[in-house]
Amino acid sequence: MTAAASTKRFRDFKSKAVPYLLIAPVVIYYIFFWIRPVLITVYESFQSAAGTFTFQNYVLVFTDPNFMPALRNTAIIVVFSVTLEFLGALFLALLINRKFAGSTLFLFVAMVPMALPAVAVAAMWLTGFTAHGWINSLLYYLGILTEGAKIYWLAGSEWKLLALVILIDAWQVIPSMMIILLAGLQNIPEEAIEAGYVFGGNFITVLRKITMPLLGPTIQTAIILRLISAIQIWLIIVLLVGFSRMPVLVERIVYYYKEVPNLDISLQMASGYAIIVSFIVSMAALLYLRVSGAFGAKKEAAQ
Amino acid sequence: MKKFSIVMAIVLVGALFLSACQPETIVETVIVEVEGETITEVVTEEVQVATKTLVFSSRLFSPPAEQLFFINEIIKPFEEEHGVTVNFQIIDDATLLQRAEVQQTTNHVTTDIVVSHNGSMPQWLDAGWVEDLTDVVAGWTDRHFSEAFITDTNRDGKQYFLPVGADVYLLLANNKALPYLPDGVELDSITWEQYAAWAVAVAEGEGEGKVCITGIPSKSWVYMFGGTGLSYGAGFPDANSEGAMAAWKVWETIGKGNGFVPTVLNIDSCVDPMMREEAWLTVFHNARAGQVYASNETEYTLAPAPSGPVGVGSIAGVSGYAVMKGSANYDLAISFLEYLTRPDIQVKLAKGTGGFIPPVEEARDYLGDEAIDEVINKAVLVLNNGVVSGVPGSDYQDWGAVKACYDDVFADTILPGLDVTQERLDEAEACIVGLLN
Repeated sequence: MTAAASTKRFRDFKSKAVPYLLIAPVVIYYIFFWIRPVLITVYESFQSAAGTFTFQNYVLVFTDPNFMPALRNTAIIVVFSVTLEFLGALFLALLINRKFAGSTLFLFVAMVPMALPAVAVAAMWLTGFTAHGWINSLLYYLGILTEGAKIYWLAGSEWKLLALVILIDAWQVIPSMMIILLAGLQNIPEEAIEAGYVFGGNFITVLRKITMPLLGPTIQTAIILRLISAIQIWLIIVLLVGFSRMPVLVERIVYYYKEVPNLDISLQMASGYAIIVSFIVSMAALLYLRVSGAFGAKKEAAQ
Repeated sequence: MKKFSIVMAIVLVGALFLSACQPETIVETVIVEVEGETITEVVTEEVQVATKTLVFSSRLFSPPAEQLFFINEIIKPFEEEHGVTVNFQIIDDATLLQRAEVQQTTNHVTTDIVVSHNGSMPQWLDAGWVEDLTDVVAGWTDRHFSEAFITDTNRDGKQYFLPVGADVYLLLANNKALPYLPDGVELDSITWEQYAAWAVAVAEGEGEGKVCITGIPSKSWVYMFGGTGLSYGAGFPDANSEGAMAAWKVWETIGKGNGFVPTVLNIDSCVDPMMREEAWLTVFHNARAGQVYASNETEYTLAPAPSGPVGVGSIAGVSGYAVMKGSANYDLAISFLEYLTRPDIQVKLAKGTGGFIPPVEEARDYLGDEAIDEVINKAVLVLNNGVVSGVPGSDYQDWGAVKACYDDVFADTILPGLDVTQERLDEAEACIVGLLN
């Protein structure tokens, strides 16, 4: 083998290896801090307290009296929260996209809730919803409540609490969804919108026939991201009413892992719930993609 | 520019290093013998010695105001006197134990003093992670620790924990509730039945309940109910005995009379609802009751917890200082504990942190007649004369789960105003027994 051939082979190797070397740190990071914990959790979910293989953990989860209420509450939150957030975010994105005077300032103000951590959001609303909180004070100041009258926002049925959780979550999440939709709106060619109006369309027609179809892929991204995080809501609920009062799926994982970690079944329950939540998240995302026709769109694009 | 930046960076790092070292002046007397003549020379030398840092991890004094008091009024004088730094950290019991395990198993002990609740002391002692302080304590003749908690702090005749911040439960009432107090009832000797009747009368008169309990799960309801149970001869924890049933009936009366504040399920501490006057009546932790009472003593009335046929029942707890085994600053840790457990300091600490009971017999000599002294005196009364029980947390897989057994009875039976049935209580007892180790 000549020296020139050897150098060429080395250069070829280098040019092929460099991309892999560049992504190696990320791959290593994912193997250790993502794949490994996931595999361990899957393994743990099939282990008994004695360390033998078992399906009993899943039996425990499915027979847990809090499982069905947790599933039901999570489903309600996901359906109503995502719908409300999508409509709110779309409205705000369309409004800001009209670039009226002060729209930049409006955008900045609208994004403030996104910057707050869930704990701060829950604390802020908790101080508002207490009997002597700022919401009742505001209502009194506006003349809606008489002196001494109070609305007990946090007292009452579980449905009322669920509605409050959905509203609080929507308040925090709408800005992030709005940003994604706004980015999508700004990528729609002006000419397409103008053409809609030129051919006699009004705002609703243009929105329905041009804007929404062109915004489709962005909406899919926004809704999938939101769907996944809506299934994972728990902290606001725990801060409002504590563990177990209004169970949701991820709250059950935290409950067994952090709140009662020393039970014989704590790890089994936590890992069982974790796998079930992961499965539900994956299925929900797949179902949404299928229903929204995303797979069909990909096939068409490939052809 | 680049060179300048590098020089500045070096200077900054150097300054940080030097600031970590306090200069200490060492005065040394040197005696030298020169040809039969003794010359004494005094040598003064300034050397750089790093300030010693004592790591103090505590589950006690977690409210910000108490932390501030502990740091400014207790720690600072010690730091100034000894030229050391005390690194005060608030860490809950479970995390403290986890950290201790890591430090002990890796033989890298970074914590010097721990403050544990008596419920967790058996775990510390079983693991052997704290130093035996028996000989140290024997040398402190000016103080005698309360015998009430000896079974928790001592083992096999040796003392490992030095008690601090004992607590019992006291009755606290907003004075607006006093007009509803049933005729002839004295607050200092009120019974649980009278308390329930009072709560219902307040609810009827005001149109809404005013009794505060911690309705958020896994908080203090287990202790609040536990005190009632002990007053009727129940054990602790005990959900379904004859005494426990009598105790549940007291709370059933309040529930049926809509006596609880409407937001009771959102309450994790009765301090705020009592201070906001959302709630008017509660039986709770003496330090928290003291915190509210001392905020405006003309607005509140304080009394021992109500009594039952057996007496004034209360769950009593205490925390304890201990030196972590393998502490690199053992001598300094002992000095700090000697300082912290002095009777006058224990009283100062108790007064500054809402009214914990100072568990040193000599401490009573330092009590005065301020509002906070009254809190401590009432608490001492309950501790000495009441039917008290500790928290047998280590007997159970997880004490938080035991709390949930009681929380559920409150949420599904007491609050909705349903009848407390033996069947429901047997279910709760099965829940508790199922959690035994």
